Amino acid sequence: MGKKRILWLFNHTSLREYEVPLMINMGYEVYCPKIFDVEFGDMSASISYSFDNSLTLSDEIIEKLNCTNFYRRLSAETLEMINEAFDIVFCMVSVEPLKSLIYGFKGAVVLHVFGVADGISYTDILGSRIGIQGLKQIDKIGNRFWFSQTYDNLADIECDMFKRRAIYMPLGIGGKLREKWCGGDDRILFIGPKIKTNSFYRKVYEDFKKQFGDIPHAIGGGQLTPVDDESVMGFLPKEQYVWNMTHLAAMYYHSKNPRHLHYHPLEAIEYGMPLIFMAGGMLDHFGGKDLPGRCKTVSEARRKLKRLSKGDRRLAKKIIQSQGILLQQFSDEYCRPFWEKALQNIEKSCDTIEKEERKKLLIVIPAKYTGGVFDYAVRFCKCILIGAEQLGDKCDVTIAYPDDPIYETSNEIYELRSMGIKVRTYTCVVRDENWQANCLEIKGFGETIFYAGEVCVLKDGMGDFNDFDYAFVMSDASPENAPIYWEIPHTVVAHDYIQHYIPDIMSDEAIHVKIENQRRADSIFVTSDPTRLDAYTYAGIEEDKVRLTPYMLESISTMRKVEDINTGEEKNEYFLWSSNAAKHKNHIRALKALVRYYENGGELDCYMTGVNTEYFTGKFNLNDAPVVKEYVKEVIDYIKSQECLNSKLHIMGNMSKDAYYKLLRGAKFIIHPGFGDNGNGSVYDAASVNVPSLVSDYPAMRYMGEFMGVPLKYMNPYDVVSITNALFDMEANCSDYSQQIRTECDLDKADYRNVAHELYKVIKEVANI
Amino acid sequence: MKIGIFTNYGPKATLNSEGLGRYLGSLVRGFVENGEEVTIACPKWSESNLKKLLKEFTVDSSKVSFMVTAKIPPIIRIQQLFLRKKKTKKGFLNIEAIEHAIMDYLSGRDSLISFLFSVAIMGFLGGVVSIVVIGKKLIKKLLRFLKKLVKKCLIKGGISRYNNKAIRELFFEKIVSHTADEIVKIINDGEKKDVWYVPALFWPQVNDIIDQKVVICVPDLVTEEYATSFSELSTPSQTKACRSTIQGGKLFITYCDYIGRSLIDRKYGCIDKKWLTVRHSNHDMMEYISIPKNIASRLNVDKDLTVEFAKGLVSHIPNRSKFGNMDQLVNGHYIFYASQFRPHKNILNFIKAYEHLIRNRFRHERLVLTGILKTLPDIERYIYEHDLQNEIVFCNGVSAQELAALYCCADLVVNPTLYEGGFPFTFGEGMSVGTPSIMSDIPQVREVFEPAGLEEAMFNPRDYLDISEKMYWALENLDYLKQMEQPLYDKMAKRTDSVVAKEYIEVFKKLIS
Repeated sequence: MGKKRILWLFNHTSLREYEVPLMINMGYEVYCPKIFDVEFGDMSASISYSFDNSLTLSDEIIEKLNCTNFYRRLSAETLEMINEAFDIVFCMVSVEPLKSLIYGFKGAVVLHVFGVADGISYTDILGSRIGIQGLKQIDKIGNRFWFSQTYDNLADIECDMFKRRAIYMPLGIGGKLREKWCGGDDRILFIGPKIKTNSFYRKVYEDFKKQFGDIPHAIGGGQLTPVDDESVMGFLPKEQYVWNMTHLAAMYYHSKNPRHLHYHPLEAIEYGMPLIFMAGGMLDHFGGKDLPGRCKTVSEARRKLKRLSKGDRRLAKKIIQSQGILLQQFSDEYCRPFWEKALQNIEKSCDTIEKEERKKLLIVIPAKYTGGVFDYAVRFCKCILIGAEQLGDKCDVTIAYPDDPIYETSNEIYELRSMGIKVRTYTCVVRDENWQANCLEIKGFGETIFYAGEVCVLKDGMGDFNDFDYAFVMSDASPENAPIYWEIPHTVVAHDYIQHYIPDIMSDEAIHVKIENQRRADSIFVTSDPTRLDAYTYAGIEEDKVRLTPYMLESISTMRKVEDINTGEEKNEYFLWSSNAAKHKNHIRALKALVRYYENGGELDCYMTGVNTEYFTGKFNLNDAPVVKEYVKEVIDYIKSQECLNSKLHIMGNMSKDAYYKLLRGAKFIIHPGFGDNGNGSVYDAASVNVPSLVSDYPAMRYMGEFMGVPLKYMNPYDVVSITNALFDMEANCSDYSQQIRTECDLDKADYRNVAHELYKVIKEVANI
Repeated sequence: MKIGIFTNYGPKATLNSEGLGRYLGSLVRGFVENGEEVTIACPKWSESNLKKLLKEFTVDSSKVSFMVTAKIPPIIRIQQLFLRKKKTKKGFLNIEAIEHAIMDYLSGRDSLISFLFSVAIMGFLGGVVSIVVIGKKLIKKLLRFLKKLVKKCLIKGGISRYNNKAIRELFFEKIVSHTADEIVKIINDGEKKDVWYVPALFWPQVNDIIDQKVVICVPDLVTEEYATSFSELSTPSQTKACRSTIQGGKLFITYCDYIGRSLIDRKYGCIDKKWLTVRHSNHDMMEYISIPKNIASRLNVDKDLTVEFAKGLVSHIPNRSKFGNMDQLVNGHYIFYASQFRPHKNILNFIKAYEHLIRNRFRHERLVLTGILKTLPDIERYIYEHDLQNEIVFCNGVSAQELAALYCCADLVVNPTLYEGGFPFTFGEGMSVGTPSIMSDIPQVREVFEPAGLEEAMFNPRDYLDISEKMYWALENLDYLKQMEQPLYDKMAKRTDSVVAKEYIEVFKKLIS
């Protein structure tokens, strides 16, 4: 069997110059990326085509690879291509591609690391960005993952999991002393890139200026924006760069970081340039403790640099002669045996045969929903079955809901079971940060928690859903007042951001929980374009994470017998108001409009229905009701104060589906004067029985209308007069509008069964089915 | 072969003829019978217990040598003192018992002089006892003070999140870990062995044994798999220690192939690690309850006296929970699962399955469990909320004989576990007394059941309806099930302790070669 093919996802010039030829020399084929983002590349990055001739891949694939940005989330197509073409991937700590690789790449994933700033670790960085679920995924891919450390002390501060997978692949720079330095320029060289664009380097620059600014100096390193300082040279052509390295008096290296080293001090040694460096950093680790260039204090460094600047040849010679030791561990003789052994081990791990297991998908109803979210969840499950069957995918679907008697008698749950969907119930407990820390430590993910505050743990008595590959959480709510703790990758469905439009509709805590649940998720599903925009601008979710998926509507015609469907001939003298008791349903304005309507001769009665609307009758105790008491009282008081409402408005409360449909099909039209939500699906039900709808004009409702292909009549929900006029228009023309529905609508198109493939396509991609 | 066995169990560990003690005792007996030279390295505090254990296993003590730490740390001595008091419950400090003894004694004195003398003696003894009592109180106070001090130190050390129990555990873990270092030093300084066998993962220090081969037993790392539940029950330090032991080790023994593959290969693999599987020996429960058949004929009774004896034993098992009715247990039928209640044992789902079995499938068996209910409050809540307290019986802390009787009288053994270190003992324990099993379809079970053609006797443990249906099927087909499982059991029954000990020796040879 031939040597393996390696996808080496770096663009750092010096790194490439050593590592890629080394691997090719060892018999591997290596591909280097051709596109890089400025933010990753900094000024040391470049592109090289010179190693492509090591590849036995077709030109077509190489072309596709060349057009791929490997610093972003990798698409399913890209993953398929690299799974086909490569055995090993070397990657950096770049969240999106790393996530794509750990979930989707089937070969060895080598996380090649070079050290981090003092006080933090890769565990901290990764944990906070790929979440516990990401770390768990790394744990799950087991021996196919490698923590490839370029310095042998990097894993010392990492979590047990990274320690376990640590492998030493030292950084090489060729290691040959070039001995070209001749001096002559009195300036000392300091490297400080990105001064104006990176706060860390700005501080390094400022410190240098403060401590050594009086000694003649030149500052190298690329700058993204110009710096108002003559000593800052910016990006230099190669010749000038080499001239500096060979003629400036000395280089000063500031870093005391024990786990990170820049390239430039090593390059200086290669050129034979005297290097003055601070004690306590990585250079100590490479045998620098007794070197004459080492300084314990800034004043010692100043003394030495001043002498070198003034041309102290004796000191320069002493430093140059002794500092070669620092390059030994970067030499090919030193590095190669480690690389050979490491790559042997990595190769072995590629040969691990993993049984293709059926994907286990979990659909979670995260609170006691029985209305729209519950219906959505049921249809979502069915869509997976439809989609998977169409594409021949194998997956097991389980629906989980709160351990509550309300679900025991649910016919929908019974139906799902009969379709082969498993069910699981859960209870919820709230746990504090100590619990989270314990949990992480037991799992071997370090002790630092990634998210502050309490969490809700969903307990199923079987490891708390840890046996699933992926979870889809059907809303952004939690069963208790804390975000949900997940150890598996998951998607949260954000149906809407009502709180963005009606600020006092929920408590600050509830909003915090919703947003946190979304931010901790691996992806967010929205069902309308306006909600997608809200996810970016209001909830602050990264664009890559948000997926637009279809609404899950179900046509009544498929649920009811054909004879039940109204022909449109026998309408009664009323219209239906689809509502609930929440404030975004815009009751006060709508009621005022109703009063105007009746006062100006409107004849139709109004039937209000929906969850909790029974509280508007004033017949129920509001103390323990699941409604905002003050708001409901305000509505009750208004209704009571208007005599016409007492006789013409009939509040039906939450009705059974059968009763609702009966009432609906007898209505002349239906109204939805609310706004701020994700659209109102009852207009789809209405259209199913040829009943026209009058709805508020807001983006999500418009989007839904277009999605359904239903001609809707719009009104301005903020203007009482506009609502009143629209009511008169509906009263007068509802027969025509009904006719319009009959002739123009193809409602089945929007039925969830007919959009299942669209939803499943996204599900398949996010869950790597 | 010179075999060393490294142990560093804490002073609280029970080493008797069951569980851990049985495993060690039977291994040493097997090694000695095979003519191997055995050395046990252990802390001073377990020396006498281990010697006692070897005696129970009729091991010739002259064939086993010991490498023991120099002394018992004072804090462990104090702990042992308290442990002894707990074990004997009403020991020498039981004032009521002392009072009774004194009154009995005094009431037996018939002369005044004898009476007064006796009172004087009693007074003196009473004084001594008082000093001891006061002394103990002082020690308790001192310990409380020390605990506070330790807690303060721990807060400074950044591990303030632990509760008192966890801090106490950590404190003793530290001492035990220090002792492990001492044992390793003694091993390194002592005569070289061909192999050192380490029967548990708790002591990463074994990786510091130099110039000698070390074979480590890897039972499992269940805490890592069920972290959300175990984080409420234990501190992470033990799991960390187990991980370090695997990470530093090279040669391993597992109880099943799955653990070797999934834990050693998949998580630590590709870096110089070798493992082999030695499955558990069979636990024959019949020896505890067997009444020879000729007794029945001698007594001229037409009954299986073993079963009758077992029924008698079961009817006298104290019901330790507020649920269930033990007296009626032997008159009816029941399903049995002997296990501690741990998060991975899947008890809640099992109870849901059982509920479905009796309420939706209309079976009339009770369910007998041996776990301690309070360890998993969710289960207690579920049982109350679903009114299952009459059907489910809890009898924890039963003796080996009582356990054998419970297995014997059960209709069916069900093992719903989600994770195990090896093939569960419950199958052999049940079949040894004639009760068949159905078991979870997990890799640890499948690797034994599948080759034996017993897929039909497995269920999906995560689906309570599947468990329930399988229980229903099994109860309807008990004879068929038993007949089906008999060949596997017959094969397993041959794996006696001594056969398994020989397997260990073979595996040691393979691993160190």
